[in-house]
Amino acid sequence: MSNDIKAISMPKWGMEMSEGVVGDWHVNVGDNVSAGDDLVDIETSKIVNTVTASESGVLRLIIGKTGDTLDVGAILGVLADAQTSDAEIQAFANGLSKQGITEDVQESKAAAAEITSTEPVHQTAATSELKSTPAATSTDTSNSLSSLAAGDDDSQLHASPIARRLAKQYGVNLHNINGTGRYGRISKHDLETAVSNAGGSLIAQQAPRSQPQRIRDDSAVKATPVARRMAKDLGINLNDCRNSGNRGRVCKADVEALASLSNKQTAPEPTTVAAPVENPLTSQAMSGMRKTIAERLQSSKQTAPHFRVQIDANIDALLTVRKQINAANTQAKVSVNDFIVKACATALAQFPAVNVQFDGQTIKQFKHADISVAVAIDEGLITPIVKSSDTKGLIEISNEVRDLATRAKLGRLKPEEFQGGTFCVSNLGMFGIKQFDAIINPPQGAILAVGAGEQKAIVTNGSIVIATVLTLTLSSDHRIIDGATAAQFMSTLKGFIEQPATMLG
Amino acid sequence: MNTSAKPTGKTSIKTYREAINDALRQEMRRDPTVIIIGEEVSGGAGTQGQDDAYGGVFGVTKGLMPEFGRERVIDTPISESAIIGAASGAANNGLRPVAELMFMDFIGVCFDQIFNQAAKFHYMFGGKSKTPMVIRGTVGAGWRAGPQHSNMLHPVLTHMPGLKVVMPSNAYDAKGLMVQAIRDNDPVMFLEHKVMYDTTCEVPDELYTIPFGEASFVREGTDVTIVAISNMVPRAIAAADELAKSGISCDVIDPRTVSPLDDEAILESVAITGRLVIVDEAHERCSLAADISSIVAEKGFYSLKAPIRKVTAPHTPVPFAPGLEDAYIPSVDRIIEAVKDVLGA
Amino acid sequence: MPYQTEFLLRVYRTMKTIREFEERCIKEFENGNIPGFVHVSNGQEAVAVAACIELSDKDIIGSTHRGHGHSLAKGCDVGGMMKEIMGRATGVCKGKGGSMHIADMDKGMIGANAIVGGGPPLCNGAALASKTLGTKDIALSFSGDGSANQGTVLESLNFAVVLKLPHVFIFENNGYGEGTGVDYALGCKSLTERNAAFGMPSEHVNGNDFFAIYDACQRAIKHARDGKGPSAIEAETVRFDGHFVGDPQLYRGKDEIKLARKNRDCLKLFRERVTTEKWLTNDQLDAVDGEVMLLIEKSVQEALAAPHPDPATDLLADVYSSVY
Repeated sequence: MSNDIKAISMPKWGMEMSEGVVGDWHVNVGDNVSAGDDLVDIETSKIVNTVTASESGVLRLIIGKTGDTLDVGAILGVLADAQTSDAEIQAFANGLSKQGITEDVQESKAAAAEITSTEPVHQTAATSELKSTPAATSTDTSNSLSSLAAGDDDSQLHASPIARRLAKQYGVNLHNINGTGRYGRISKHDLETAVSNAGGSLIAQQAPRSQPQRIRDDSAVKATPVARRMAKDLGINLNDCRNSGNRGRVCKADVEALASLSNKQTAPEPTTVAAPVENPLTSQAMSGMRKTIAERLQSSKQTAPHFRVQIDANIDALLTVRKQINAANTQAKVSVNDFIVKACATALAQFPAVNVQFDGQTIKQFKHADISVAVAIDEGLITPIVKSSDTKGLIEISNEVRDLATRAKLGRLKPEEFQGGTFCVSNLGMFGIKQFDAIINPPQGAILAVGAGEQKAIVTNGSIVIATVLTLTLSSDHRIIDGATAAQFMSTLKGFIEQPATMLG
Repeated sequence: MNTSAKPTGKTSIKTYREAINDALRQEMRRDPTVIIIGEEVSGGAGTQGQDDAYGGVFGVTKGLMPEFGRERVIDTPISESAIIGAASGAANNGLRPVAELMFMDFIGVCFDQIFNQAAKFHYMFGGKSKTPMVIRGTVGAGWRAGPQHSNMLHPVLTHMPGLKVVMPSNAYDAKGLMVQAIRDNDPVMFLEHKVMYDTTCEVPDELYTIPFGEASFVREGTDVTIVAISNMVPRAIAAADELAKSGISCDVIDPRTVSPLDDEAILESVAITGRLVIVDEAHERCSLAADISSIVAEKGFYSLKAPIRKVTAPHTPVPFAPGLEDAYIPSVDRIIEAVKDVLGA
Repeated sequence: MPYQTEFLLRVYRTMKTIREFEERCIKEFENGNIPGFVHVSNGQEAVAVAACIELSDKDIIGSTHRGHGHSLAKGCDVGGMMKEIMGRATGVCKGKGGSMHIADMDKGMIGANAIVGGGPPLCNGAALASKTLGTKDIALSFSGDGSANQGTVLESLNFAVVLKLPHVFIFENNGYGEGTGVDYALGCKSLTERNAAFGMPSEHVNGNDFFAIYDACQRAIKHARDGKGPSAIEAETVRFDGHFVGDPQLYRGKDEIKLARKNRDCLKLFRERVTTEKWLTNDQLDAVDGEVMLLIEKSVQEALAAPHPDPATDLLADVYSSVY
């Protein structure tokens, strides 16, 4: 590029200017120009200003025409001396593109590049790098471990107070530890690394202190008496236990679960900081009952082709009657479920085809309805039977169910009291369950699942009224019970439930 | 920097004030470039009365002018910007000034000199400019000095890159840290708590240093970690000792320098205890307590068994009336309550 | 001849270097090669050179945001400065400071200061250091007419007198504190008188006449070196460009700059004087012109090719000078 040829460029006035509109030229091609002369007006979004010549020369070429919008840095015109040829001028102009700013974007790009810290190493001492090592006791006499204890007085070595304390506790001499903490200090992490490299792990040697882990009073925590007594004996705070028992109580199993966690050898694992996610597990062998339930229900589901029939029942009337009965008779504590059992008994009498047992080959139809009532117990589920319920009154059924349930929970049922039965009633309403499908208990042919009574808006005689409604679902074995049968049974059952008076007699 | 070597010579009981005076005097004897500059650092200049009338309004620099003369112990007009600016410029050019702000609250009128000038020289001049200067001043409430003379301000200073911020809680640390501050090549803010000047402990007679960024464990335990700053350290100790009677043992950590901060020591302790209480006389928002909480929440999250508790001053200026001021300052009872809280009591 | 040829050539070369450096900065800024803000001092060269030409590397100067001229006059490297202004890693401040924070401690330039009035307190410190250490070095601060009203400057004037510091306060009165005229912003009639009121010798000079300023500076510097304390010089001068490059300068009178370039150009006035007095010839001066142009061109090309700082290594470096 000849020194004589100079470009007149779009200036940058202020930080935000990126382009300008060319206004009037104050000089013409061929005019002599001195440094400081006005050349051309430029308008930006903010101002109108005049570009002045920074050098002297002759204006040889105008490239930015009035009205053009050009980027900052773009060429507006060319100054040279009179002798330079037009060809050279044109070549010069062509050599400079109109592209605009050569603003260094590298800086902003560089800023986006990864910045790594130059901070000392201690920042990387992430506790997640440590793994829970299996309990290797400190009495391990492997060579490398015991060699950690050897060395002269290490009190002047540079170590963090915690590292120093732990070293003393485990009898480690700091001379054997490589320090990578702050300023090359020996950190706790360095200590742990050295110990684990030597094949050991840090375990608290101190006797288990009586840890006032939670000083909180747990007398207000709902718990079963057994659980409460057990917790006290074990020194466990009920606030620390989960509460999976009935009505949200801490039960024995919950206390046992916590106890078994704490029993995992010594320390409140402070020194082996666990991996972030800990999921304690207790393995349980299957109890006899559990095994039986498992086998039978699996077989039932796999063998009997289940089909469901569902119907809703308005229990307003039932509730009223129940209230009356319970009020009139102080011995009576009739529940909604008792009414349902009675209703089933009455309905089964009318539909003997549902009151059956099936062994895979022969359908046994029974005269009386022996209704099994499902009772939840600690070990699982048991179904004590109200024998010949069709012959018993409501209160009698109620008392019997209560008695059976109590003895069931105490594990004092005789086999004939829960083996057999011709029909089963299972109620999850007390847990708020709206509806569910039960699995048939073989050798029975059907099972009724009862849901919770809920206040609902229903349409009666064209108007909307509020009533308490519950959902009944019958699961039947289609090998022996037909759809129509089941449906009619349910319809009849609904009738008895909605109009309890019809069960009289 | 790698020193945890303790001085081994003779010690004597000294006050916090005397310990700092010791450090200044011994360093000035050792290094002729150390000067002291500020208002009333000697006192009596241009008057008919006594020379060395004050030796610093808290007496910290008493006796230094008689020994070193007015060329090295310089009384100034009341011009904080000029004082700190002069100290910075002198530090750039061969001196090691220890400038005094009579109350650290006065950084308001010279903050530019500190955060925009001195703190930035080394960085923005590409590493060629050193500012080996100490600015010492008194902080904190408890003296009924009122709102404008009782600020803590260390959070503001900690925020500034280029500064180092030192807050000794006892005479022993005060001397070692002051010597370190004078020898350090960067601007050091040395915050002396005004109610601590008369506290005493065994202080070595010899010169010694305490490295920056190294916390001290003033009590050891395994149930809860308590981090405390400056005048809160004795209170945390009192709380820990009281809690020990109930069988609760605490690590009480005094960081001694808040910038640089020994976060590693704090994290190590929390990894064992899982519970953290931080006691800081600053207002809660953007306090050192908030800063340390954030560090532990980020880097020690999985160690925590309970939320972190901060015990700080309220979001108010320091009140004047004694009863109000006492309620303002975090109390031992509040610390105990916080410890019990993180333990789930 | 009252001035040595070598001296006069050196003066002219330095002034011309500043002039061309500043004019080139304007161009490079407009080309987009200079990030941030740039404040050029073309028009004020004589003051910078007159004050600094006889100072040693151990004498300290402090400057303002408009510090290129002062830095060049003090001997800072042209190439290093251009690189710094373009934010390159090989700039005098490793790209960390830029135009407003240009410094070179090795040359006794303790920094351009982006804070108005930031320089004088620091120069007091430098003066205090030399006084305490017993050297004969002095400090010299540059302030504008705008910063004369900043608290730090007023405090520093008093402080310097009280402690009898070897500090020369140079006030470059170019008539504008940003966009406000000095007649408005200065309450008193004369800055010179106000400086005197602080208790120090105070002079007023024509800031476009190199020789006038030079004489005044020599007096003040000697005063300081002799241990007699601070003094102040008000030099009335002119800036040809805006407060910052890109400033539309709407606050300036019509044709004011044009006339200033014509009648108050210190380089022109210097040339007239030395050629009239026959101390130097036009040819000698032209030769210097040519050399300076090449030097500036070279510095720009080198700066454009210089590496940028690397965030991975440079961002966090140099916050502290000793272990953190």
